[in-house]
Amino acid sequence: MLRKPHAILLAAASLALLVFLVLPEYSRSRIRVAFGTLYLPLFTVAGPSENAVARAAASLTPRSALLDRIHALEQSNEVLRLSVVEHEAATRESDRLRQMLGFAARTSWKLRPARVIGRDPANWWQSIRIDIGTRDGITTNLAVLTPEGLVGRVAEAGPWNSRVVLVGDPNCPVAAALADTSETGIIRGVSGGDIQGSLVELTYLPRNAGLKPGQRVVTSGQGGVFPAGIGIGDLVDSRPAVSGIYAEARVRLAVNLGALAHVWVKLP
Amino acid sequence: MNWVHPTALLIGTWVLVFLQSWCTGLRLWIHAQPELLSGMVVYSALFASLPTTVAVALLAGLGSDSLSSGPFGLGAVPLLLLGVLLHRRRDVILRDSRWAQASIGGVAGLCVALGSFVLLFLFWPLVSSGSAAASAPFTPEVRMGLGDLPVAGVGRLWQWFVAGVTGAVVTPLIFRVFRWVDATCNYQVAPSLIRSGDREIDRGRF
Repeated sequence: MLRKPHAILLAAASLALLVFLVLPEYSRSRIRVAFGTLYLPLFTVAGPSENAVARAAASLTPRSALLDRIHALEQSNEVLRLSVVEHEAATRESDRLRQMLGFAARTSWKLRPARVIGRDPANWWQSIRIDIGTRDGITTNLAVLTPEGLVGRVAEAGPWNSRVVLVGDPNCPVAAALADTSETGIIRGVSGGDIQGSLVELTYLPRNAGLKPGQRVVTSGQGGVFPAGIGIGDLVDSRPAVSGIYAEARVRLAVNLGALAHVWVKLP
Repeated sequence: MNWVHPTALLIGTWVLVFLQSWCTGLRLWIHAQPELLSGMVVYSALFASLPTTVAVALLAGLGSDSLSSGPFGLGAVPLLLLGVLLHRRRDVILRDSRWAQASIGGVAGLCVALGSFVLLFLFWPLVSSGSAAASAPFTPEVRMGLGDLPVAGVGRLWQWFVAGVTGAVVTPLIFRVFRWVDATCNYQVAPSLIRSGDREIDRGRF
């Protein structure tokens, strides 16, 4: 038999856990953010120590390797600058045509860089923690991306850091479309689980969509969170759904979600 | 027993929760999350008081949940159950042998991983009803809180295997560290001056 104080302690702990579980999502989220700030000192210390290790490693790199890298970056920079000039011309033309047709003016993206400081400690969920929060203008449901493609959306924003659910997590469905045919569907996690986390499933596609391996999949912009045109990945294979009403396809993500170090948050 | 040992256990738990979230190298390599916290609860249950064990289990579970997308509070339930069960039976559990520590740690890691998964499916109607998913406007992306259950599949078997193996590896290390902390910071049992082993009479079978 348990001693009376121990029984009271266990009852109190069980009751507290039950209350946490049945709280409304908003309150639960506030408590979660408050509890998460307990780890803020450790995350704050970990960032500079990681940078110090990286600097120490860089100082060991031979000068010739660094010069080669600078040369490669200069070449890449020149190509990108030419590409920017080309895109600016296209944007001006697009804006002029929009004005002639009476369409609303296109707004350019405002992006904010963020460093990935942690990952979801549980196996069942896919999320990361980034080092910017509400103090930096971050709110929930902002799109998070890298130059390679879509990463996920901000699910919870604390004052100093935020949690981002990744593409493929059950909490991050994405309205997607095939880039060449514009057939739309919804991206979600792969049935049966994918250990490497590089595959997701594109569902609710029309059966006669003409799916071919290698087709590019992008965001459709119809879901309310992600703007249209962000790359998600490439189609791997397809099959009819069990019900036979629609088709499903597996998509290999363009971004390696396991090795994220820096991301960009698209501000409203 | 003084306050240093329970405090060290709580600080150790705090750091381990952070390490589970921060250290991604091994996870990237083996494609599964190592289970570190069950070893901490096993050690607390076998060497600390019940209030300390409950505090360690709650800090581990809630801390882990606060850095995760899962329902807040559910991760603490299997750790709390593990801690209380082991504490109740600790008089009959072998704890000094490395193999015993590794075995308990392995089984505990596996049970916590399995338990979390089973509880998630059992409690899903309770934890997802509190979300605003039902009242949110129907667009596929705008959903607050918990959407769907995580996908169950064969890939989970590997994750449970990793949880068991890492539990078995980490638990003896945790025992070693915290036994050292305990031996360093606690009052030691004074050696007996009256009775000594080398003065005992060795008796044969007859």
